[in-house]
Parts: sequence; C-alpha cells; structure tokens
Amino acid sequence: MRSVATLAAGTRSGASTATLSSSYAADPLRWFGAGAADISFTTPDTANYFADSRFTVGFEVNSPVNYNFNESFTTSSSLVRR
Amino acid sequence: MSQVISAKAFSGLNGAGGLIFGFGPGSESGNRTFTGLLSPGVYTLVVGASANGFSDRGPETGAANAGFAFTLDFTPSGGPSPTPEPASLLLLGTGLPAHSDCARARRVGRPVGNRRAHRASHTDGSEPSGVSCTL
Repeated sequence: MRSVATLAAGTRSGASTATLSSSYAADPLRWFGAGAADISFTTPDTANYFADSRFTVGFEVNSPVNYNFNESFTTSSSLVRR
Repeated sequence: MSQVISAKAFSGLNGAGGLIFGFGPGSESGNRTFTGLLSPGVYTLVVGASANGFSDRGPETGAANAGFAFTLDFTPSGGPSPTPEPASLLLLGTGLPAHSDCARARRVGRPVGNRRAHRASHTDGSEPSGVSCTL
C-alpha cells in the first residue's frame, strides 16, 4: 500500500491527502480495499498539488481459483477563477 | 499560462502472460466487475486513485477528489463436490447402526430417555455400537 501527497513551493493555501484501508486477514479468500486522493487549494498566482493512493498486492495461486473483482470509483474536479 | 485539474482512478491484475483485466486511468465514476479463472502462478493486483491540480494563471480555487473501493473474492475452481468423499461415507456408515440401535431401544422399551444409561449400555460390551445418539 502506498499513499503520497505533495505540494509545490509557491502555493498559498491548500491541502492534499491520500488515505488507504484494507482487510483480508479475516478471510484470505475475500479481500477488501478502499482509498482516496484529494486536493484542494486557493491561490492568488500558482498552484501545484498532487495526491496518489494505491494498493499493489503480489500473490501466488497454488491451485485454480475463480475470481470476482468488483470496484467502485468516484471522481470529481473543479477549478474556478476568482 | 496553463491549468490542469484532474481526478482519476485505475485498476489492473497482471499475471505471467500480461494484463488479465484493467481499467484506466480514467476520470469516469462508476462500478465495474471482472470475473474469470486464475491458473496457478504469480499475480499482481493494483488499484488506486490520484488527484492533480496545477495552475499558474491565478487567482483560482480548485479541488479534485478521487476515491475507490473494491472487493476481490476467490472460490476454488469447481466449488464444493456434491459427491460424498470416503470420510463422509464412513461417517454415514457409523451413523446408521447408531440410529437403528436407538430405534431398537425404543421398540424394546429400554430407558432411552436417559442418555447416561444408554451410553453405559454401550460400554459394557453388550451392544454392537459405540456411537451415542441424541434422543
């Protein structure tokens, strides 16, 4: 799991956050994960924000298994000139 | 003067043969389902989201939000076998004499409602089954 949030010099105010949660210990045949990457800023001149949240999971299958992967994504963005 | 504001999500499962399924990076909200069969091997699952904002034309207010949630369920290929395995057959075989023993006990009027007495009758060597039954 990795989450990264950065902001560049020159920004006036703002925030970038990245969060992750996961669970598969209770049942190794059922995995769950959730995460978010959010930025917001207000600047009089220059803004440069970035947030990234991701799972990278390596695993080995020892005998044939069927998988069912369900994902839900939500995205939104806005930029307003003041 | 330039500006960029974006919120994207992505997912992918890779195996030795390459990409098995994947989405994005894309800015479309929604739900997706991928199903299939994995043969023995090594795999890598990646699921994530990113948000990016850049502007040098200020003054501006911006926001970008990207979120994701997923479940990944595995079931052994073939599923549960409807055919009793040898161990199950053995249990059935031991259960039938116990049942008939209890039925016989009822027929002959033995005090089968007393489980302690019933078990004792099995341990004195006078009965053919060592399996107790719940009456």
